Amino acid sequence: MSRNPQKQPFPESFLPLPPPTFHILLALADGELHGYAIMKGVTARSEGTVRLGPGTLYGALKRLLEDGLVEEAGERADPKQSNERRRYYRLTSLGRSVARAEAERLDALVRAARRKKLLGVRPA
Amino acid sequence: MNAERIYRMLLRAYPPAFRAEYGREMVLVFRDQCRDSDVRTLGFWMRVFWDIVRSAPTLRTEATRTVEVTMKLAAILTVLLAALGIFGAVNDWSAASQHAGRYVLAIVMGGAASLLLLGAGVAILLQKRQAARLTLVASLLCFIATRLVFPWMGLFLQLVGSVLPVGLLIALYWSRKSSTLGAASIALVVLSSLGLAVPQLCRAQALPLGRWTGWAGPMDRPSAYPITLDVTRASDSLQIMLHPADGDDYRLDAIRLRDDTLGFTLHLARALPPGDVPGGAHGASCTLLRQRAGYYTGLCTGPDGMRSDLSMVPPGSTHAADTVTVKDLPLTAAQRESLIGSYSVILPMGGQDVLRVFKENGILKAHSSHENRTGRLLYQGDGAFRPEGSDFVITFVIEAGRATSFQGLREDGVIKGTRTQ
Repeated sequence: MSRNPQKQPFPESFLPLPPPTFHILLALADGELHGYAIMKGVTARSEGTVRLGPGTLYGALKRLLEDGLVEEAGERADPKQSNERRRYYRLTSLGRSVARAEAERLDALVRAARRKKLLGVRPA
Repeated sequence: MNAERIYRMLLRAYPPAFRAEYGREMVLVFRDQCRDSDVRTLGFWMRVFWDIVRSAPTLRTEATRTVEVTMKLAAILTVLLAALGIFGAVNDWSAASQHAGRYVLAIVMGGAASLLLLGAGVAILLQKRQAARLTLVASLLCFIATRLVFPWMGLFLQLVGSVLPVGLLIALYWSRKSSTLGAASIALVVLSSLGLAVPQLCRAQALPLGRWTGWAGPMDRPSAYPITLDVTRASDSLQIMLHPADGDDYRLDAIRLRDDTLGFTLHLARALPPGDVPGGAHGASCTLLRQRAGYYTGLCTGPDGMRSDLSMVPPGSTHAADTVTVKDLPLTAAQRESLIGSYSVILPMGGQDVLRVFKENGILKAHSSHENRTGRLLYQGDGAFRPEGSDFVITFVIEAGRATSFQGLREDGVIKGTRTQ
């Protein structure tokens, strides 16, 4: 069921985010990007552990657009790639809030793992 | 064929609307990937295929909007079934308006439950979920009350009245999470309703419609009074009128047809003047068993405890033999022994006979004193035997490994035998 864009839903209602979705939001946190730039950003940030194919990327972008977390930012050519016009995407304020809420959720988990000495302690 | 062309072909795995919206962008991304990677490696194409296999089915499922479509279909089905229920209630009301009591109360409450179900179906179609939930709960409560008042309700009505609202309620609450489980639950409810209802309807249709013939009478003269019966169908219920050769007509109420057992209650068809006490078979409760030949025979017990025989022969079958194929199935020694003995027989017109069943050279035979005739008993299976040369079958009742009685339907009426020794 698609969420009603007229009513601003709580960011927490979108959590937890699937990892590819969170990676896309993280990539767009720096500014407007086109599809291939998002893919490269995700691969670089995850040090190659997360690789988005075109189908996974645009499937996730479609859902993010429907949920109002991402919006289109027009079409223009990317001089680094080719002269083809590409569609750019950017975060909405809701998308930024959701990304922040997910980051806080993960941060809380990491802190809990530290308290349990599961992180930051090298095995003997 | 270059890599981009192959990828364009692979894009057909995605739904058309998705391709139209994002196909060009995906090809651009693929072109960028080709530029930055070696397209001749197996790893590259493995990643391409894996991406399609992982994303295309999900997008196709989303494109079909399974939940919404199934909910809409379920709502339409609910409206149709509820309209059928209202029609049936109106029909029953017009047939039973002369009889007060809990039967009429059940019709009123059943009609109300159908009306509420109709409202729920309309509310789902209009996407008024809260209204749909409330009307479904009200319909369910109304139905439960109806079922308590009228316990002889058919299985199909019970499914429509109980399982359908429960299934819809589950789906309405589940679909908040946009889960396909909600749609699956509706589909399961609809399929199970149909799966259970269809055999029920088929079985109901096994009672042929039209003009039946038969006999009624006290137990010592079971075929004293010839009768005719009109079997019709209105909505999803059977309607049967019994016409004796002389006297008042009777309506068969609370008809229950399960497997081979037909049960009903007899009520005078005409309205009685105030203060007039109904007599005859009014109020008698009957249970008839379907015989292999297709006819029904059994007992009616009146409110005063008086018992009488009743037989019903379907249209197109002048006598039992019409629908029976003559068999000569083998019998075990124990089966033969269980039948051997003497039976006191009451003939259709009230006459009496003695049937002696015996074994001769390993063959089961019967001797009729009345006809002074001996012949083989040909086994037809399930305790039914055909006297050799006859056009009817008799069915023995076996108790504790021994035949205690038998019954059969001849062209001229019912014959009954009781073991004497």
